[in-house]
Amino acid sequence: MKGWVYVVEEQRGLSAFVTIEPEIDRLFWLDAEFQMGIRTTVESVNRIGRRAGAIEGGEWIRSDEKSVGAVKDARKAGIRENGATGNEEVELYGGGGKTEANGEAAKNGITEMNAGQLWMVDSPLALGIAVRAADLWEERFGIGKVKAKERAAGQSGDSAVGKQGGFSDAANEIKQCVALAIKEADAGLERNDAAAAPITAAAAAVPIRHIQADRSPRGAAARTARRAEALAAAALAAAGAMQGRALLHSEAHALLAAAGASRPGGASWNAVLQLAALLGRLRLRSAIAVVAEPRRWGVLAQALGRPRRRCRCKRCGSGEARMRRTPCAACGRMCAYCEACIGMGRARECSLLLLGGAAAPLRRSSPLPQETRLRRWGLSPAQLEAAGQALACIEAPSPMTTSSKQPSSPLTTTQSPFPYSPQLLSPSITRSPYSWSKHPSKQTQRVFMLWAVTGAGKTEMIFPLIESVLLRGGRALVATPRRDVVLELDPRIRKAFPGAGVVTLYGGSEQRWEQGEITLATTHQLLRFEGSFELVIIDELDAFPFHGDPVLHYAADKVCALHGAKVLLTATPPAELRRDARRGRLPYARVPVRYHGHPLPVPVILRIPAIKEVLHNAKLPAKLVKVVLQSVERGAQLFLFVQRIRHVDPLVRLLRTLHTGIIIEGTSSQDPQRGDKVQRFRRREIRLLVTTTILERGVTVPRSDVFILDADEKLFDDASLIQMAGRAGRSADDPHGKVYFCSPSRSRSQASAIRQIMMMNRTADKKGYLINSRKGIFKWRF
Amino acid sequence: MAVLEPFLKQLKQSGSIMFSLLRPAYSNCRLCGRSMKPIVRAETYADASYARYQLPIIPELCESCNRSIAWIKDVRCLICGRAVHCDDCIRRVDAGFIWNRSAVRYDSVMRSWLANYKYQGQEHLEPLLIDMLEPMFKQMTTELISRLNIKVKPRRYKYMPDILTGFDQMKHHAAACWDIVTYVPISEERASERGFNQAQRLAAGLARRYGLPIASLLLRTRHTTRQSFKTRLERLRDTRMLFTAEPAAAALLTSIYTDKYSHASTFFTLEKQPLRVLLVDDIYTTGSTANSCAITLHACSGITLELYVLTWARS
Ligand SMILES: [Zn+2]
Ligand SMILES: [Zn+2]
Ligand SMILES: [Zn+2]
Ligand SMILES: [Zn+2]
Repeated sequence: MKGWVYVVEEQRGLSAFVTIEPEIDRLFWLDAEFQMGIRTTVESVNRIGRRAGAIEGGEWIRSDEKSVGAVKDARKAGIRENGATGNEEVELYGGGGKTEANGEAAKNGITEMNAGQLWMVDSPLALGIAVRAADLWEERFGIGKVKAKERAAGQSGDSAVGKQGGFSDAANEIKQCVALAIKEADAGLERNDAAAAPITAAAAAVPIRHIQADRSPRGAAARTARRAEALAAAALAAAGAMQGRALLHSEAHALLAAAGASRPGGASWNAVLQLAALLGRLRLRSAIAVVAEPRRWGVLAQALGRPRRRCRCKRCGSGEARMRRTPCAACGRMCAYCEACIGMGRARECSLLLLGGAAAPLRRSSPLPQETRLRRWGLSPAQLEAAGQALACIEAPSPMTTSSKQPSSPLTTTQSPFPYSPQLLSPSITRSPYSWSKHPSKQTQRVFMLWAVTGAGKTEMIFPLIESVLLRGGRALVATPRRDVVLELDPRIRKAFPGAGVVTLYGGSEQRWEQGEITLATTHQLLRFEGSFELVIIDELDAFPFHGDPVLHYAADKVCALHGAKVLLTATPPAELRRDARRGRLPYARVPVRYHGHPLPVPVILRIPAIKEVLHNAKLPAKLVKVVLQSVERGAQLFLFVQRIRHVDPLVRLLRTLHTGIIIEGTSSQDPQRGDKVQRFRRREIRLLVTTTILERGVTVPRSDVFILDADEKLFDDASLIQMAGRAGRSADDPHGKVYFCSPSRSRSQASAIRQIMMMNRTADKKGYLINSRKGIFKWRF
Repeated sequence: MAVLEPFLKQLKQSGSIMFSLLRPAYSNCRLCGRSMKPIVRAETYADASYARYQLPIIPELCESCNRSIAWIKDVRCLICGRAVHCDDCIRRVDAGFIWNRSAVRYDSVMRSWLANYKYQGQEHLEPLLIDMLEPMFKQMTTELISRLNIKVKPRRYKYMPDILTGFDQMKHHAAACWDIVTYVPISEERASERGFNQAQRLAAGLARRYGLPIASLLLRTRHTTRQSFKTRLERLRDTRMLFTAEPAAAALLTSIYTDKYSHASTFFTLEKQPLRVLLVDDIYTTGSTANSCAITLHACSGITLELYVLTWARS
């Protein structure tokens, strides 16, 4: 889409802005009646907000589920999101007494909304270029350029002279910025070179319009004011619905339509969004932004090579390698789009990315002591200890809260004297705090790893963490790479937090555009959020596709609020996390024992030929037959894991020749009846299931034994082996399931898996978590 | 010259061997991303039955992706290009175009491929769709040439192999057969939302490969809602006045016409010769869109047009 750039003379001086609906900007800055209307709405919303804040505060002292409900109601009324002037900031940044001052500053700000004049580039630009031009302006001059000049000229009274000097070249300067942005986009030049190159000719061709405030009295004043009132209310409501979101233009429309947002007087969505941006509640950016990267190559390369401009996707953090440039009918240029996140809608250079403001910061105080809160979830001693450590970590003050040099974030958290000035669009704040590949909030986030063995009861352990954030007025997210885990978690979370709004997100979810205190989502859905959750819990972070996908890692970082906490849940942390934990860089807690207090079954190694050979000879090795029959005898459910899909069916046929009298089936990712077969396996209709690693996680069947064939193959790493072994002995009535690693040779990952399992058992034993603990029975076998 | 022929033949073969050496032994399927051996002949497929049907093979796709293409092998309805017999075309009265040919049946797999390209904007699929359009384009061209007895410029060096002279027979056939390629337009609103016109991209890709002239001759005047939500009658009514001719269309067609027939003998000019126009679109549902385009084109200039439609999918 297209955008317009303009420079406006406002209270701070001259600033450059981007707009998608220039008429709204003209009214906002130059029309007194329109401003009056906006002021009325904002003041009334602030009043309500203050009152609600007071009620909320009182309610918190009691801090039970009821209070969670109260916040929910307040949120529903759009109060916390919309009326976020005084309260929250004051509470965090200044403590009590400042409220009055803040309110006054706000009032002052309102009067200053009156701008004298603006210079608008009179032709629409591709949005990416418009945003870049405004950024370039800010890079050169900062905010309040003229103010500084004025001061330099002396406060001796004749400020008009100083102003005149500043203003005469405002038009020229924005022209230059536009020309520069276009040139950068066209030639792929980097900024330093571009600045040196002559662009005066191109700049001269940029059409510009000088608009001044119309002070003549008009008839329709009251109507304009009423229209502005309604529009401002709609804008604030829209911004409230979009809080914490990062949405493409079409997604924003869908969300607003789903949220039942109004468009008073037939105004366009763009008008509503633009006003929300001017009020500082939304940020409008281009989905793919040009990033200035220093050139690394030598002089020769600089002379010869024509550097391409580097783009980065603002939604998923992907760099130039994932960009594809095609001619674009929307902006009429060669326009890059991001291939990495295209599954969630196409992000183009000229497409709009709307960033809803971040939530207000959390209250620091927790009303009840941690122990009391931990007690009520009925955790086992091992769970209790780990959950307690995690809780202490996430409730500790953020490492950077006291620092004054925080990266600026959306308005609700900045201490702004002018709560609805359009500073969000203004580049000093939009100058993104992102260092791109690593999201900025990474520096202020706290991260904690919960390393819990398979079957330890991870879900129960996250309940007190979620509760802690809800009690402090925040929002929690539980993300997992796997959709079935999301669906399984949903009822449990709803049951644990009956008073809270739970939103479950996955591809095709019906709650796609809803907001709630607790969000359950597949990791891909995180791309649609930014800075919105004070607590982010990532379950099974080592599972496909999260593990090894930088896009999803980026997403997990960016959805976490600036001072939020991230909790990683895993049974098998990847090597780099284990290393960080060992070196003390990553706080973590281990839960070495299952919820039923029995040790993990230690895998037994069985030397048999490779499965390929077995199938070729059409004869099952006697050793294998013996243990399989033993398991069948004891009435267990048998998992047989193989590596390759093509081995499944022949193996099923071969096993059926044993005539054990049980039903034997096979399944794989390409089996359309997979779900059905798993259900039948659970119901014990199928007793032996040959499967590929698709059932490595998540499927819990009581009384099961696990056989891993070709366990020495490299597709089975130690994490995968531990996960598969973790299918055995899950239930309390049959805690001693059998696990066999069947292979012709012993591999390093087998050894590592067995070592890790033994280590967990030893730790559990040492800490006295095991039932019938007999110290020292677990010895190193490797 | 005849002596040289075996030698040249060998040269040609060695050339193709060299090409195959330059090609990497393994690549990734453009669609599913699985690594695969590039397959040029169907005989190398694990299931030999694929070769029996003599279906086209897209070399950049793996075997299973190639198999999922719902090629229209037998055109049963010679008017709308359907793979099954149809009654609609018998009722046809206000025919604007002569026939339609489609590359594939619009089944669920094809639907998802097109959706990925068209709605999701995975533009890297574009060359693939053009690849898939090509066999039907060739078939259509060959058929027309033999039916209408179109004269094709003969090869200049009879004994030189094509690889050396750069002679591409199909290109010459196409150039002799088609006077201009055009496409179904989309509304400006749709274009800015989607970023591209899929029909234009397909047409342009085809025209570039065969060196054919391409022109935008039509404009869409109204923005209609999605066709799939309407009944057949509604659709027919809706598409009636959907298009207008591009302002420059008449002049363009006239200039092509004079270009074509200025050198012809008086015998031919006396007879009113038509221009053969290929209209490209991504999908053919009832033919109302193509028909509406065709009627507009016929009306825009005094020149007789023979309109043929080529679509990627036939639903
Ligand atoms: Zn992206
Ligand atoms: Zn574009
Ligand atoms: Zn494939
Ligand atoms: Zn037909």
